[in-house]
Order: sequence, then structure tokens, then C-alpha cells
Amino acid sequence: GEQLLCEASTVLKCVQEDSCQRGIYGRLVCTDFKIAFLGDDESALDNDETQFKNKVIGENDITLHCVDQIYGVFDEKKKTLFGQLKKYPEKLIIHCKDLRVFHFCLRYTKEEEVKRIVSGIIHHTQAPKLLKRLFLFSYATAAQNHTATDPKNHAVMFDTLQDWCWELERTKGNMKYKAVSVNEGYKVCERLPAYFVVPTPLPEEDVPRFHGHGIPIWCWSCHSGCALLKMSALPKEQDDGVLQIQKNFLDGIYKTIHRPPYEIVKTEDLSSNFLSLQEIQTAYSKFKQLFLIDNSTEFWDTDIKWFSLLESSSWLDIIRRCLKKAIEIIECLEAQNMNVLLLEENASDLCCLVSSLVQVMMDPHCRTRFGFQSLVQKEWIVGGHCFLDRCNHLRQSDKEEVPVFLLFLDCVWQLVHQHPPAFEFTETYLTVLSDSLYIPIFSTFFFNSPHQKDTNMGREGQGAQSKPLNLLTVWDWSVQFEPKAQTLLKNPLYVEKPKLDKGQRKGTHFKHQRQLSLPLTQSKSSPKRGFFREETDHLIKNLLGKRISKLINSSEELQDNFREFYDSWRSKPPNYHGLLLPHIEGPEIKVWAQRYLRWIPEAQILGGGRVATLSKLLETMEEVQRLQEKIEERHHSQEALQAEAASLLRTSARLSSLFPFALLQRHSSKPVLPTSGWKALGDEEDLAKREDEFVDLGDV
Amino acid sequence: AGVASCPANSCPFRSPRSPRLTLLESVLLPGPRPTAGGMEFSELIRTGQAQAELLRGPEMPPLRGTLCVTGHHLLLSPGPQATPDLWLLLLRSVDSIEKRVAGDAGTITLRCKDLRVLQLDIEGVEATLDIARSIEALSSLESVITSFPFFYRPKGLRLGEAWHFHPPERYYKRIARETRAWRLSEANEDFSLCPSYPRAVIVPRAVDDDALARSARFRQGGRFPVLSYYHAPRGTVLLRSSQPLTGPQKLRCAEDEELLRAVLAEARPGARGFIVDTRSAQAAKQARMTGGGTEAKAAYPGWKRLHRPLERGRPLQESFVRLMEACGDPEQSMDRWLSRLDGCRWLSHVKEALSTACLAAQGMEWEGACILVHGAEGTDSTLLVTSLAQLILDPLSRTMAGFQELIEREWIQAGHPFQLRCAHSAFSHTRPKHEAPIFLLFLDCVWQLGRQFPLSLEFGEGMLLALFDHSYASPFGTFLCNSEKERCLCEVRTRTHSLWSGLNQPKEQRKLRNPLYVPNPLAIWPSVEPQSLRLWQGDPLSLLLPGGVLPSAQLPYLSSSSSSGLFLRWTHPPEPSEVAWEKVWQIATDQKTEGSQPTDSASQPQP
Repeated sequence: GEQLLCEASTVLKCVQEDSCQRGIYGRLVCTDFKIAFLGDDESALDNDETQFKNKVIGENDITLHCVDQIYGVFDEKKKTLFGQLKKYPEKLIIHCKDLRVFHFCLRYTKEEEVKRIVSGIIHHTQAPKLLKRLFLFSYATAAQNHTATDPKNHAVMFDTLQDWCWELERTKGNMKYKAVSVNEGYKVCERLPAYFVVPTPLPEEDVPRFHGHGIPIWCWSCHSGCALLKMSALPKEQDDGVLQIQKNFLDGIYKTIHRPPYEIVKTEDLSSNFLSLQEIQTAYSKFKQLFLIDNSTEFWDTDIKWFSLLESSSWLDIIRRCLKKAIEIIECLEAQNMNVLLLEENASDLCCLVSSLVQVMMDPHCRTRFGFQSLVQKEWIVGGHCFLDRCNHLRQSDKEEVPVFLLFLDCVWQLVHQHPPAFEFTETYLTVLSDSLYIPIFSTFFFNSPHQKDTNMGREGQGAQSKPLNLLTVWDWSVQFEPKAQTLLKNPLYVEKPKLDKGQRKGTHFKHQRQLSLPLTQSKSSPKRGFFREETDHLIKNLLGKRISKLINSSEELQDNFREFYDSWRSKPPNYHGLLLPHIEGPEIKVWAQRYLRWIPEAQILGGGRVATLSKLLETMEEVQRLQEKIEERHHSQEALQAEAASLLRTSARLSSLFPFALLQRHSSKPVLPTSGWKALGDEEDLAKREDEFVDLGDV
Repeated sequence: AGVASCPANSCPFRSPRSPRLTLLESVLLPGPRPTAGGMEFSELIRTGQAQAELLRGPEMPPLRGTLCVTGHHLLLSPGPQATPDLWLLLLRSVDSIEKRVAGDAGTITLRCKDLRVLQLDIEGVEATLDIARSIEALSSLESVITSFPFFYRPKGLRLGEAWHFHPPERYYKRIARETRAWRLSEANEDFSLCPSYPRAVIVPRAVDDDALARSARFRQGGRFPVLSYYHAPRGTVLLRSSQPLTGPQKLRCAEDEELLRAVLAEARPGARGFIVDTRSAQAAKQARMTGGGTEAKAAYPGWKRLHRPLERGRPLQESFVRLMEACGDPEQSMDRWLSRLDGCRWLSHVKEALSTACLAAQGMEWEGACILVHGAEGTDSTLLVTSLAQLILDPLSRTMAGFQELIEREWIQAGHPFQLRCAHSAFSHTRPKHEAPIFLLFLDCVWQLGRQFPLSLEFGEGMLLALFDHSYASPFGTFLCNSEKERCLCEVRTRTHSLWSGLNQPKEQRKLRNPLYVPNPLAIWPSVEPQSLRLWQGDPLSLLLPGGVLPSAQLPYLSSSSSSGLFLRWTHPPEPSEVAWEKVWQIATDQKTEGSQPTDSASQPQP
């Protein structure tokens, strides 16, 4: 369903190579899906290096949603382009949301073509759009006949009551919580999913009272029975009468969820004592500028300021605060045996972030690919994170554009980086997932809520199109990658949890022990009356919007508990199938190099980096496996060992450290040095000469 | 002094496995005692022993027992049942000492040169003060021949072993196989030409010993240009020297010019050369006022000069001190951490060193040019650049034996003044005089290479950590003194053990080797921008392999226990993923144990 909108020929695409500029002639086209550069010399563009090829988005394709900023160069000066242009630039620079930077030289292009392509690109990437005009729909209409694989193979979608019941069963939360269908057809609230889970004694008729606000919604239960809940705050009211009603309502709610069998509830108000969306937005916009680099001179110039620039963006600090918050909540659930209720205005931004981080750390199931995809589906997609607004897909409001999901992925990356054997997926997986946010053929990240998705799924279709549109889910990775490339998304170091056979009674016992091996300070959880009252009041005050801020009376105690819990976890060897906490000391939070630095050729190490370690390890492990196979030959080992895993890694002798990305760069084995190095030898020679001249003058 | 007659058993490590203090004392302080400049050690020891508790950092359990100060050691004996049965610290490794008394107890905080911080809680005020004073006096003794290496007689090692492993003669044999253009000159046999060079150096065949002597007189400290590395694939060479003594009068030296001309002529007709001056052009010019200077272009045809300023001396030491302050801060919050890391500028020194080495290596590999590196004295940043350039280019120097040879040839024999540079580490309160962590900077750069090319170095991080520890305080003689001449005078070779023989024992090698090593015949070009450089700290996927916290009984000094990198290794507990790495190690070596296989199939019960 892709339509050509405008094009221009004899465009020169500039490539940086070994600090000199090189150009490729070709056609620049803009469709309703992407901006693409088609080289005249196809062979030069598509060579065999591209093993990790994306089937949807090529090396020179930019989806319209992926465009971040467009600059034009007028007489060597760089200006942001927007709206109607009076003058057309000689060079177009496109900054992408996946941090690629494209330079298109238009000097040799016909003037009217320049006009058409530049204004076309600007219009189609920057003008506000209607939801119905998204490429998603025209693609789905056109690709109706393609049989998409059942999404259930890739993740639990949480769009049926059954899915929620399964999740309850899996986490053993079904004793105290129930799945409700009160919102079927979005009768009660468009914000909430059709099905969700609430505490069992909660009367279903309470849900519609404030359109789902003020209702504790279940996220996840941990093995001890404590649960993570979320609640969207009640609307702020001035009228005392309404306030009283709200207070009574909340009192009622609170009584139901406090009574045994429920544990004490601790409220975490994420909208007042934690990050603000504004902070995240500002930090990321500063942070990404460090990686959107127009040329290598600019790159080397940032050298001396790198750490201070990095710090002033405070992106890493935000990551750290998120991880810390998650650990604090885990401490409550795990050590203090408390339920934790996350509170946020709409319960759809930081709630999603924090609750899914908690689950990744506590629930080993969420560290498998299937589990992680289900988690994203549960907490983010069905949980109602406004992807459409947060990614600004419709270009309606820049203010709403906040990379909350990317922040989550970055937090998960820190965990993956610190504990590689614990995750079934790789950092490459996280990177391509973050790229998929901007590919408008998947429905996953293009709606604000399940309601919005369902109401736009071809209900308006007349006559022939009576059946709902068949939208693709991002979880079907075969749409984007060939099976060979998909092996790179799978972590070869991941060791599956040993299956518990009946014969292995020892194993079951072991598992039990492992779960209890965590520091459970049971004594602390004995309900204190005073504590309870205080907490209730606190909760209600918060919920009513009269926020007496910084009223965390027990913050000091909390800090101590936190430290103690964290240190005691750290002092034990980690169990990759149990609780997994990140290191949050300053030096341990790193920059996600693969995502942020992958397009910068200067930052890659040829034949080195972690990739080299991994491939060597794989080789060794395969060898061990082969040997074991030989040993066990007579037992006819039932397991088919995946010896083909990551054969990609092994085939190339000298991989770049940014593998599998950084393919734009033709592989040269020349070292990369600052421009003040060998290349600038001429200058230094001059300098030496001058100095000698000066010397000679002195002699005279 | 009657040192030579000191019996071999004056070393505590031959004592039984659970020593009682009386026994220890009789072993440690008998008969002809070691003396310190005519004074007996025992005169410096005010209190023999006290009851104390030792705190060794966040993750280690405290030790209680009897504390005892001996001539070279601080010992803590926790009693016969405890494990380990004896804790000991080489007094030389104490960098600074702080004492506090409160009530009838005192606390001594020892900051060690290996960056450890230890706390001793001692019963009794008098005892505390006495022990503190004894440690202070004994740890700052300057005499070389009374230092511990002269008394250390470990089991299983023979004196004189490994000392002849890596002299220049050996390297010359390697070169002689490739080219006839160079010869081994023994003009410095009696150290008269240059006190900081070894007896034999490699020079152009066309230059005779008289010319060398004249050239030596024209160079600071007599360090005339000598061959550092012959890059066989391109037939180019790396030379090093000190600055020429041109002075304000623009003096010239025909022999020195001839020497460099001969280098180019031997390489190939029309070859070019580059002089990499590790000072800024400004600093080089200023050096003229004090008699130094740099090669005038007109006098050395074919040679071009490049200035790549590298930090040395006090600024480098201060950078190290500030870095350790930042790392020692218990509350490393994110915002302060990055600005402090930036502020101490350590990583930019790493970056400058690596990129200068890359420049030199690139000149040899890509431009086919000969390179001469020098700064002022030619004993610090010069050696840093030449040794790093070799690691980048030469696959042999990346092997275990090759790296040891490189250290021996390019640092120890080449006259890096270890005794002056490593007199104090980052915690000393005394004003630094000659201290500079230039060797540490080298090790850090090697660590960066190892991190960027995890398969290409045969040695692992354990090796680098061991070298760091031993360069500051060691029971071995390898890093003693400032030059080969001094080592000859002190008879270091015959009276102390070589570190290399200690490190090359099979059980030590396990901790020092990189299990993932694959010989890489290519040059390894590191990425030098700050995004690629890391603070030397634990990386879950780095080559850190757990060294095992328990010291081995015979050689307690060789066990470096940590794997959290260098700078944070005592404040941060080791990375948890080491458990996984232990497995990797087990896979990679043949010391596989039952049940350690990483796959499910391994644990299938045998039917």
C-alpha cells in the first residue's frame, strides 16, 4: 500500500569514510511510508556485509516516523527546516530517532525537484496527521491477504479474560485477585483494557464510579503472595462535598484491600515524589545530541567535554533513579511482605516503567523472550501507555513526546549488561525493539490504548471490508529478520531454568530453598496499628490531590532497610533464575553503546569488543557441547543442541564491536585517530617549520 | 651490613601452618638481625604485639587476633583454629597511616599502595601509638639492600632464576634473524655512557662505539637513540632517546645526526622519519633555556618533528590522587561521579597516551616511516609510547612471555626510575617529589587494549593487577632501584628473586592468563575516543577472572584477590557474574570439574 509521493534524482548521499567525504549518486524518494535513497549503483550499496538486514527497513530507508529533525545547509550554515520554505537548501541533513544522521547533497539536483522533495519531506514528516491516515492502515488494507502468524505464539496478548486468568495462575495470585470483564466493550472507561484484575472482594460496581480512577488494579504477585498494584489518581476536586464522597469511596476501597488475607499496603506516589515526564524529556533531548553528530570534526571536538556533557544531560542519573525506585519497591514486597500500590495520574507512564522493571528483576519468566514480550504487552500495550502521543507519531504535540519506553529499555539494558547470563534476549534485541517503535507496519506501538486500537480496526469498513483489519504485531520478528539474523536476538549464554522432572526431587527442593534464601525479615511485617492509620491517611490525602509533599515520614528508616536489603543481596552469588538486582553505584551505570553509538564509525573497534568475547565463548561452548554429545552418544541425548546458534558471529573473523550495526561503514582496517593525528600532519609540519624559522631568525 | 648472612629462615613463610606468636617471634627476630642504616630494625619496633581487630573492607569478615610488627611485616595471628591462620601485610606497601585514640582503645587506618584501606582497632592507647610509630618508621625506610626482597626466600624458587630471561641480547637475536642493519653494542658495559641504560643496547651497524659516546654526551642523561622495536613486516623501526642538549646556543652534534641518518639509510632508500616529541612545541622550546631542546629540522634531514604533549610528573600524580579520592567516596551518586571522573582527567591521560602510541604505530605500519620517541629525560612518557606501540603492532608482545619481556626490556632495563616514581601511591600525605604513576598509566592503557580486544592478549587482568601491586611494593627484586646500574651495585640479581619466576609458576599462571586468548597476527587498533575508554573497573564481560581470595600457603604475596578492576577493587565487592566466569574458565581450560558444565544435558543422570 506504499505510495510514491515525491522524488528527486541525482542526489548525492555523503558518507564519511576515513575522515574524508565520499558521495554516492542516487534517487531520493519520499513515500507515505518512508524516505528512501536509491543508489544508482545498486551493487555499491547492497553488498554482502549486510548479514543483519532488516527486511522492512533498508540501510538507506528512514520511516517517516523515525525522522527527528531536518536541517538544511544554506551557504555553509545549518538551519532547522520547518513549515513553508522561501529558499531551498543545498544540502539536507536528516537526524533520525534511531540516531542515524543522513546527509543529502542537492547541489546537482534540478531546482524544481529540490523544491518538491524538500517541501514534500518536510510536510510528510512534520505536519500533524490524523490517526486514520497512518501508514499502518493502508498497509494492513493492502496486505490483507498475508497471513500473519498467530500473535499468541510470540507473547501473551492480554486481550482476553483467559490470558489474565493464566497470568494469575502463573503468579499464584488467583487466591486473592480476580479477573473482571466489567469493562467489556469499553463501557466503563476507554483508558482501561477490556479485561483486568482487581482484588477479589472489590465490588464490581465500584469500578465505574470514577471511570476506573481510584481502583487498585493488579499488576503482578510475587511468590510470597504480596502483589504489585497500580491505581490512577482521582480527579482533583475543589468542592468539599465531592471531596467527602471521594474520601469515603477511597476509605471503602482501602478497607477491602487491607483486610486479611491482604498484606499491609504501601503507597508509592509516582507523580509527586519521583521523576517528572518533563525531566525525562529534557534529559533525553540533551542526551541524544551527544550522538547525533554531523561530522567527525564535531565528534572529536566533544571529546574533552564528553563526561561533563554526559552528566549535564542527567539521562544516566534518571536511569539510576528508576532502578533504585524498583529496588525499593522490591524491598517492600520481598523483605517487608507488603503490597505496593503505585499511584499516578493516569497510571500509564511511570507506573508502566516501574512495575515492569520490578517484574523483570523479580520474575525470571520476564527474562525470557516470550515472558518479556508478554510483560510489555501486559504493562505497556494493554496497560494503556500512550505510545501514539509519547512517540509523537501523529506530530500533534511535541510536548507530549517523552521517551518513557526507551527509558525502560535502557534500564533493562543495564540489567542485561550487568548480568548477561540471566536473559534469554540480547542487547541487539533491545536495540531492534527500540527501532521498531517507529516502523508503522506494526500495530503494537501505534495506539494510545487498546480501546483506540479496537475502535480503529476497520469497524468503519463498509461492504467487502467487514472483517477487521489484520494488523501485524512487532513480536513476530520474522517480519523484520531472516531466521539467520534472528539468532542474534537470542542470548547464547542464557541457561534455561532446569526443568523439574519427577525424578529430580532434589531439584524441587532446591528451587524452594532458593526462593526462600532471600532475606525475609518476617518480624518487621507484623502489622502495626499506628503505621496502618498513618499510611491510610497518607494514602487518602495523596489520592485527594491535597498533596502535602515530602510527607514520607519513614524515609530514613526506608533508606536503611533499602541499604540492608541491597547489601545482603549483593553479598550472595546471584541466582539467574531468582531475584536479580542491578548495581546502581554511579560507575556502574553505562551508556548503551550499541544503541547510541552504533552509527559513529570512530567509536567502533574492529575485531574487538564484547562481540569478540561472545563469539569466542560460543565457539568454546559449542565445542564442549560437541564433546558432551560424543560422551552421551550412547544415551541418545534427546536434546537437539542448537549448534547453529549465531553462526553469523563466527563467520566473520574481524567483527566490529558495534556488530551487528555500523554497516554503513565500509570495513577498513585503518585505525581511527583524532583529526589532529596523522591526517593533520601537514599542519604540524608547518608548525615545526615555523618554529625552525623562528629559531633561524634567532641565530641571525 | 651483615645482611648477607641473614639466614633463609628469617622469612615467616616457612613457619608451620598455625603459628603461635612465640614461635613466630623466635623465627622472625633471631640472631643476626637485618639492620636499617646501621640501626637494628628492633630499635624501630616500639611494641612487639597487641590485641587488635582488623577490618578489611565491606565484604570481608573482620579478623581478631594478636597483632605483631616485625622488620618487614605487620602480622595478625587470629589463633590456631581460624582460617586463614595468619594475615600479613608487607610494611613497604603502607602508603599512609592515620591514628585515632578514644578511651582505652585506638584505631589505625592504613592506606596501602595497592589502594586498599585497612582499619585496625587496637586495645590500649600506648600500644596503638607505639604500633603506629613503628609502622611509620619501618614503612618509610629508604635503603634498598635492607628491603624485604633481600630476605625473601620462598619455597620452590631458586635464586637467580628467571633473571636472564629477558635481556636485550635475547631481543637482539630476534632482530638479527630479520635484518643485518643493527648490532648489539656493549659500549655501555661499565655504565659510563649512560647510567640508565643496560650494558648492551641495539644501535645501527654503521655507527661505531666512539660515535655513540659522542652522541651520548649530546643527549640528556646520556640516553642516545637506541632501537626499541623492529617492525619486521614493514622494515621500519622504533627508537627512543632523551632530548638533545641543544641549549640556547643551538649546539649540534655530528655523530648524533649521523646516527639518525644511518637509521634512515638502513631502513630503505628515501625512507622518512618522524620524531615524536612527547612535549608541546612550547615546552620543547622552553627546554632550550635549561640546556635541553629538540632536534633542529635543518640538522636532521629526512626527519620531521611532531609534538604530542603527554602529561607526566606531578600533574599525573595529582590526577591519580584525585581519581582515588573520587573512587574512595562511599556515596558515589551519579551526578557527582561523572564530573569527578571528568575533573581528575585520568581518562584523558589514558586517551592521550593511547593515541600517541597509535600515531607512532601508524607511522611505522602505514607510512613506512621510522619513529624516534623522546620527551625530556626519555625515561617516562617515552617508554609509555614505545611499549604501547609495540603492543599494538607486535603479536609476540601480546603473549605472556612476550609481555614480560616487553616490561623487562622497555621499562626495567630501559631505566624507568621505579624507586622514585613508585615511592608513594595515591594516599600519601607527603608532598610528592618524583612520584608519578606512569607505569600505572601504561597498565591502564594495556587494560583498555585488553578490554577492546578481549581475545588478543594472552595475559588477563590479573597479570596487570599483579604488576601494579608489585611495582609499588613487592617481595621480589624485579622493580627495585631506578636503573640497571643501581641494580648491579645492589646485586639485586643474585640476592633477590625475580618476579617473573614467581609469576610463571603454574598455579599462578591460572590467575594471570586470559582463557579466551586466540593468537591474533594483526595489529590491534584501539578506539581512543572517550566513549570507548572505560575506568579500570569490573566489567561483567571483561576478562576478570576470580583469583581466589585465599592466599596460597607458600607465596602469600602473589595472590591478588580481587576482580573488580583496579580503581574500585577494594571498595566494591567483586562482580557477581564472576561465578559465571569461573565456569567459562573451567570450560576454556581442561581443569573441568564434574557438574560445572553450563548446559542442561550435562546434568543428566547416568542411567
